[in-house]
Amino acid sequence: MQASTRIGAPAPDITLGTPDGKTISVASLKGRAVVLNFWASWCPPCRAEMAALNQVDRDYRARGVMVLGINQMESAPVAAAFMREQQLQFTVALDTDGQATRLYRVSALPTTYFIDKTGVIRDIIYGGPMTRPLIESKVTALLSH
Amino acid sequence: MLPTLRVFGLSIQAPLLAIMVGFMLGLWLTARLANERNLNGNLLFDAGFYGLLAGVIGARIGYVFLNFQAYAREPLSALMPSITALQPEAGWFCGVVFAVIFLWRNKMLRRDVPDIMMPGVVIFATGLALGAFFNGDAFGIPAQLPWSIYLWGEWRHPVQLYELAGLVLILAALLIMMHRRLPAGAVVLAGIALVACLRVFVDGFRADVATVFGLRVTQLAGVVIAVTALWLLGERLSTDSSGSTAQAGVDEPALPKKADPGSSPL
Repeated sequence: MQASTRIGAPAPDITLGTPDGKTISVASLKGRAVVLNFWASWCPPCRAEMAALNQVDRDYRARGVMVLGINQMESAPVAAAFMREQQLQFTVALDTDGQATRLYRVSALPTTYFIDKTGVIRDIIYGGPMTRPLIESKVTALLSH
Repeated sequence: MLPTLRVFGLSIQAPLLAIMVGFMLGLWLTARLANERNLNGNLLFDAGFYGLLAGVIGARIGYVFLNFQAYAREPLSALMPSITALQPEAGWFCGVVFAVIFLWRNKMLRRDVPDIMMPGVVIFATGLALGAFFNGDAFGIPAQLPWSIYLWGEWRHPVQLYELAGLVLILAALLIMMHRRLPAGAVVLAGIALVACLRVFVDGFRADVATVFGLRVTQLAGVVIAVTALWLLGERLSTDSSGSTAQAGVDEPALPKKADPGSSPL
């Protein structure tokens, strides 16, 4: 099946840099359930849901779940400062040129894709803030696929 | 595909907006058609509106119940507004039951009320079709046509728009029927048959419908529903015409100016 950003289709692959100079690709995360969250530090609902995402990443990491935050078009120092301020422990990638934003058709922040272990998109949440129970309920559904 | 609209800096979920506008327009038309028949349109409007509220609350309770473990540690988060934390079946059940009870308590469960509601239901369905168009749901099979739309990486049949156009035609037909002298139940049965026929036609172009032995499930269901509704409609019309023959010479107005005292509650 062709990669696409609709529910039921394989998530499009993209490789992005991280604030600490490494790279990460969506394809490399196959085998893990992924919560792909598009955010920016200036976006109030994004800020409001960071703690919940952090907590879910910590609680479900051992069960094969990973939260991947994609910072939308901010510089590495700005993203890193925000991560320190919010004490974020989940992986953050930088979409400095907006390529991932365009590929995933992100028209509002935050936007969150829930991708199962086989790399298929199972749910999309436009807007926020998401609560921890809401993210947990979506992650539990992901793990059942 | 247009999942969100930017209005004065605010992001509005376009599918939800289309569905809500369809629902409220449907309620408005229902109330207006009821008023034309000297029924209390406000009561029908209230039944729909409170049914919507009950449906949303029921859908949230259903979602929290199904994900109780997640919500047990933070029960207050169940009150957070989010359209994704809803269980649709629970919502439909609660909304319909609440609306029916409301109508029953207000003595509005009459045989002619489903007829009055049917055009409003069709308007609501147009909102759903428009919502699916905005969200890219219920998409069509690939096709290179002058009117194809580019969706999910391919040019496709704009099935959501086919459905929208079909529903507008059905709405027009039902509104014409509403102004004819027809037995109670005729409009709703005709509406169900027409919508089922539309389903059979439109789903022939859809790419995302489950199939059984190569046949689309919704098309099979559509055929069964259409045939049943048409048979019931035929029965209703023949019963009415024999009743009319027995009452030959009795001249009745096309549209009753007062509530029909002979209408019996269901």
